[in-house]
Amino acid sequence: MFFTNPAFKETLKRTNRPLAPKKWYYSEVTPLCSKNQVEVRRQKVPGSSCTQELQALFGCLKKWEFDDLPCSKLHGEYMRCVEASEKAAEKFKQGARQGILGEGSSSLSTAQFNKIMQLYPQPDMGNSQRRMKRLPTQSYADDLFGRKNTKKPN
Amino acid sequence: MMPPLMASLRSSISGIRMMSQTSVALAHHSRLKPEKITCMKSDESPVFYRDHVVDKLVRVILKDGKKEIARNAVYDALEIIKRRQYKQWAKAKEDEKSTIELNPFVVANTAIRNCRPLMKLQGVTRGAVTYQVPFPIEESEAEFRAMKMMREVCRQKAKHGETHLKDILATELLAASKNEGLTIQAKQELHKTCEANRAFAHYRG
Repeated sequence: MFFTNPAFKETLKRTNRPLAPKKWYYSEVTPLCSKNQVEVRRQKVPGSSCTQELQALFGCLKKWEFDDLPCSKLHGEYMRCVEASEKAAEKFKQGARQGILGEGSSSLSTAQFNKIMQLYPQPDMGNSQRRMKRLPTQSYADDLFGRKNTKKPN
Repeated sequence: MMPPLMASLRSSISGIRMMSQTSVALAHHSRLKPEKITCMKSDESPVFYRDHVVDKLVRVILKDGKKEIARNAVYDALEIIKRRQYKQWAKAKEDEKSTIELNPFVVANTAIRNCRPLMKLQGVTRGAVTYQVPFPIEESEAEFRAMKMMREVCRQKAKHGETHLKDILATELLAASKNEGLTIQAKQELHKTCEANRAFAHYRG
């Protein structure tokens, strides 16, 4: 709000700046609401890295000045851990793809979530109340919501 | 000699080739039924002294498809190893003679086994920066990398004046079997860089 008219400002006499602040309009291009489905994306496997074994291996290497032969036992443990984590990752991927519900990790995979929403879909989801539609009685020619005016969308 | 007679009797009586578990594990793959029947490679003839590590080394050293040259170089290197080890054995004292390994295939196997790296460095790009991340490595790939390191070292040595690949390879294999030499050094350098980059191990996967 302006207490004195900004037209009286000395600085504005030399510039072409507009007086009032710029108005930003929200245009609802896609409906502003949730959906009953989530897009399936690549998911990270929870807890799949073998950092402890790796750090132990590095400690052994440092101790023996990077001479390999005394550290073969720790290397074997690390490789076993890696294989186990790979198997667990495969299993998780299979389960996540199928979306089997039941006892699993605390986080839901996208397929599991989609399955739940399929069982219990929320009514009237995905319809924006604000999105204006042309009624059958209204003509196509009328610019009802000012969409043809690029400066001021609905 | 009883065992061969018994084996021949067994096969003649049953009519089926019966192989014990140990002989299956040690047999050449030409004597076992494969999952998928394909033609054998030209250098995989069923000879008793066929060695997997030596064959793989020949393939790694191979250049321009000249298999004969590569194979002769490796076999000559093995012969040189045998000659040098025998000379050492002849000169050695009685109690030290058992420690010297005369079989060149065993020497080559131990050399490649000692040169095997424990992990590899792979580039992972996060936010326009490529980090060298230590990754675990499989046995076959570790073997290949050991052989490749050895090949590069041999080529460097050839550049610096040593002429024949058989001599260079023989010295490298002998040194590596004793955990010395430039190939072992290269492997330890790799491990050092892996250890330096251990903080990036979280970028794996």
